[in-house]
Amino acid sequence: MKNWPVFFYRHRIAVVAALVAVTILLGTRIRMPMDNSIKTWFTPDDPAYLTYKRVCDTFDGGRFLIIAIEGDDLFSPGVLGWLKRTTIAIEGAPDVRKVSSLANSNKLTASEEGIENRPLLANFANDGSMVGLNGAAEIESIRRLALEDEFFRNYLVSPDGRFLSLIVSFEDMNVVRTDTAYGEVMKIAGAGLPAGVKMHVSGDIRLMVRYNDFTRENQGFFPALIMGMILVFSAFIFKSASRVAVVGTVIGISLVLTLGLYSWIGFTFNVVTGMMVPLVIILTIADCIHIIEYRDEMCGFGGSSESVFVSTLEYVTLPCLLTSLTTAIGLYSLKVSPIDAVRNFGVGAAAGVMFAFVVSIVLVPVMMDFLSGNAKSGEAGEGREESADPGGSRVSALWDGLLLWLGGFVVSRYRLIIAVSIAILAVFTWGITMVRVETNQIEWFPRSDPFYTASQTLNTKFMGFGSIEIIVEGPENSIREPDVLKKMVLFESSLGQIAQKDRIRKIISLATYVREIHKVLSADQAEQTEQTEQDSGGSSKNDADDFGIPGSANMVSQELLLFTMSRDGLEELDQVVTRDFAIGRILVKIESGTSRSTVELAETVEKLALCIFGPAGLKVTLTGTSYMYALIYKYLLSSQVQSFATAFALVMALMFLIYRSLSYGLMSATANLLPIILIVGLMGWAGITINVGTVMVASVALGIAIDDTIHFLSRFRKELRGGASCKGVRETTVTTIRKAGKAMIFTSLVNIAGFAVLMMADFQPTREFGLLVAITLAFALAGDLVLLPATAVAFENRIAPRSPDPQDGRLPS
Amino acid sequence: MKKSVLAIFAICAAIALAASFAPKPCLAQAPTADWVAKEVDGRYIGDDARSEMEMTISDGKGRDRSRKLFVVRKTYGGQDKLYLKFTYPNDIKGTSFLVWEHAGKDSERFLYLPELGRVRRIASAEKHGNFAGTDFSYEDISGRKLEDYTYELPRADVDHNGAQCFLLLSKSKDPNVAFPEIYSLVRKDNFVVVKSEYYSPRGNHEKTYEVLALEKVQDIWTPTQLLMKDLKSGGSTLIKIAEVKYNGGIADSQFEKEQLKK
Repeated sequence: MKNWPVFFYRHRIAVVAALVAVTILLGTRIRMPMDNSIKTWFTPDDPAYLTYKRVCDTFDGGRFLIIAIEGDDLFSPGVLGWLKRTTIAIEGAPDVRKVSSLANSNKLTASEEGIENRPLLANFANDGSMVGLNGAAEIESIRRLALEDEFFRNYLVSPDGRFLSLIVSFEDMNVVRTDTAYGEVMKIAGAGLPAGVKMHVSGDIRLMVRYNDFTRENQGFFPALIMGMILVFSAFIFKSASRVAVVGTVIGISLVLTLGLYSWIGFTFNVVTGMMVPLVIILTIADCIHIIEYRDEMCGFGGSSESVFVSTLEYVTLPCLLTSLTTAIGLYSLKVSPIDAVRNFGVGAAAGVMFAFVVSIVLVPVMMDFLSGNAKSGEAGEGREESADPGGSRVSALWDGLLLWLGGFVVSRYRLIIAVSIAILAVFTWGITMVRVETNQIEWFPRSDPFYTASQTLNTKFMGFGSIEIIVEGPENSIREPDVLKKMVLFESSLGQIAQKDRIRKIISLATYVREIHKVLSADQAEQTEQTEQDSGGSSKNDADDFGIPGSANMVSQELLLFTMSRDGLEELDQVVTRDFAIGRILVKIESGTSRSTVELAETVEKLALCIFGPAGLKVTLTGTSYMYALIYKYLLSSQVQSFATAFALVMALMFLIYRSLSYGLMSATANLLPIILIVGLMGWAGITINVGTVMVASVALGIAIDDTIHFLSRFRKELRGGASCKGVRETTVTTIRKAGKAMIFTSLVNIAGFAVLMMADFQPTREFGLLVAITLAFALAGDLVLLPATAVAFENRIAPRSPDPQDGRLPS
Repeated sequence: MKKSVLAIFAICAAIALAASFAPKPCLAQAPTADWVAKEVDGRYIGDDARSEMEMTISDGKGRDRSRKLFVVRKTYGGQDKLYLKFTYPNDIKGTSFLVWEHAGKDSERFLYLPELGRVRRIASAEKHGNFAGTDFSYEDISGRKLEDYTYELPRADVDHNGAQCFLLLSKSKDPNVAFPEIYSLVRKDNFVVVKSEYYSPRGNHEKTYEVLALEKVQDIWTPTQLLMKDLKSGGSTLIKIAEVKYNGGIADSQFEKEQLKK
């Protein structure tokens, strides 16, 4: 198969037809499904995710929207009327499962009239109008009842009464329904908002909607921008419309194949995997440039169309294959990540890179050959090799001069270069020790983003943004046992004594309900008992203790039966306990904080829960959004190390395999490890955290950065061994920089500019990913053009050809 | 105008509404919606009745709870009195509930929790509250007032499990109710409501009521298995009624507050 380029040339039409057929086949598979739910971050079989899903299914959690309103006078007929009207309207909105607000909450009270579990806003009609009674007195009564209620406080109303909330739970929805349902709810909520009242919208659904926006940005705006930029860049360097068309065609087909396969596999797009589209566009250009540049060089030697075609493929195929393979390996190494989005991104982008290689190798020579043929047969001036361009010659001369100077500098100052590199390495290695991981999602948004401001407002002034849920499981009916309820009260009070107690805003459990109901009944009972004892001297059965929990399970059941007789009583209890009383849920709402502190808080909560519930034979499991994101913190750490180690080991093994030389392997390892260390060190010094975007930088950058190393070393070996003049290492180094440098600089600049476009993203991980990869590629280019040649000179004795060379050790004249 | 169809065992009359017997239209006339509604509301369900009821309350996730009750009902000049006592499970055994309906005003309710040892008056007259922690509302149990709704007859000939039915649409005059529109299938031969669909103010179908078994007891058509499904939560309540006895001469003392403790 050594003569495969000849075979390919003779059957190029059939090969192209086959490629087109595959493209059409995969093109029909493109679906672009989107999913930005929490499962984006976890593999389907992750035990933590399975627990989270089970709890969501059991207690209908996980998909909620917080609509908070802020104002100086929220307890007014106008605002409460809006709350009632809006609550009723949202309850009927598509895909809304439940709405919780003061407008549909009941207040259990005991009065002379008896026990009353009446709606708090009973005197407001569904249209928000107030009916009957003295308005001012009624409003004051509502305010008092709301603020003194343990359930409502820091959940439906802030302790200072300046915030009210509507908590909207949704059905499990796909992305289209999520966007539609969110839009519908916000349309309702925004209608008739009273003057002087400010609205803050946060919660999981809001987060998903913003992520969907970011994903669309990654799929639409950035690819279009990068594509445009690449085409302009191609026009600049090739000065040929037909070559720009070649580049555009290759990118388009590579993208169709990648997206088709990605959809066919069943992967979905999210805020991380969406970055795959711009990445594939950026990475496709490199092979095109190298193939076109080399083909131009071959054209310069003259010869038939077939000989140019064949000799181009004979030279470029291996380096392009190797560069694509190493890039794909770097990307595919992300598959070891426990984060599903990162894994899928790695797999999809790796496939994209290999598609880009195949398409480039097939289409670029064929299209160039076709276009050259057309140019020769009458469309003169289209192909650059056929045109006389004095301006272009001047530019080429400038390039040659620049690269020759660089070559001379590297060869003459290689010791200095290596010494400076070691010094820089030391400084940035120190920076690595300062790198932090951050998975607090609020921090991934711009400070001006409405989601950020709303979440921060909720965080600092109201109910907090995050939650940790403690699931307590035992036999049927175990959760309603007074001893277990007392443990819940003990757990709650113990949380008030931990180091991070100020972050805890609200704790809701079955015990909270039982205590509240029992308090009301006990107050009524006290009055009744007093009367009874006066009448007959009888004794009361009310035997609650300091925990505020009834003394018997039967009393708990009967009091809960009373509570479930209210309109939403049953649904409220469904949030904290299963109907067979086998599983209880303790919801701890917290102010979101740094990942590290949340991990510590979750660990403290878990230890406390195990300590309190464990001895009673109850199983304790932690979940909740904050807990889950704290897990991502741990995953990111291991992900960073595992994926980079895998990528580095595989890429270096490939390099040793290719060159079968320890010296070449060490040279490439040095040149490529340096930029990675620099970038991770830079993250530490600059305070850039490891997040779902930046965690991929090292592996991705390594895979891309080594491309130039391969191109350099391939050319270096060719020049060193292939030349009849049998050049020395130093002369070869200069020649290689001069011949390969231009393409290396071009491809690196395109890549850097492409990734730099991502810096325009609103989503911080995308922005930082673009920034850091761009910087890494700049470091890598410097490494390949400066440090790599310098190490080549340093290894001069090891890599020089065996035959004596009188020129060896001297610069060419 | 009497309004209660009361009836636990006639929950089918859940949508049923008060009424007096209305004259049947002559054969040449097509039945009207109002006539059908009055026939449903006025269906004879005995002057009094006692029965035993078993309720299975499911959360739709495979977690069920069962409850058993003893139920007694008696009509007093158009108003009903209802007495319920839980007999199973043991934790709520002895808990009892009394409802006195009053013409022109909210009904009175009393609850006895054995562990507390006292009768409590339940002050709220919330019609939409859950009945005994089930998916049925008080309104479903005690019936709706005929004059609170307007009626339409979208179809006069619907086949339901082999029985010919009217499709009756009841529209609430009060916009603040939970379900302003209810579509019901009314059997033509006995005016029992065999199926109802409840629609929210936004027009969403949220609850479905269905009679799974209908028997003739002492010549009175009696639904003996009733199912209410909450389509939003996925929960459901199945009620099975047994040992039904009509017109047994229930003493008035059965409906005194003191009876709750016994």
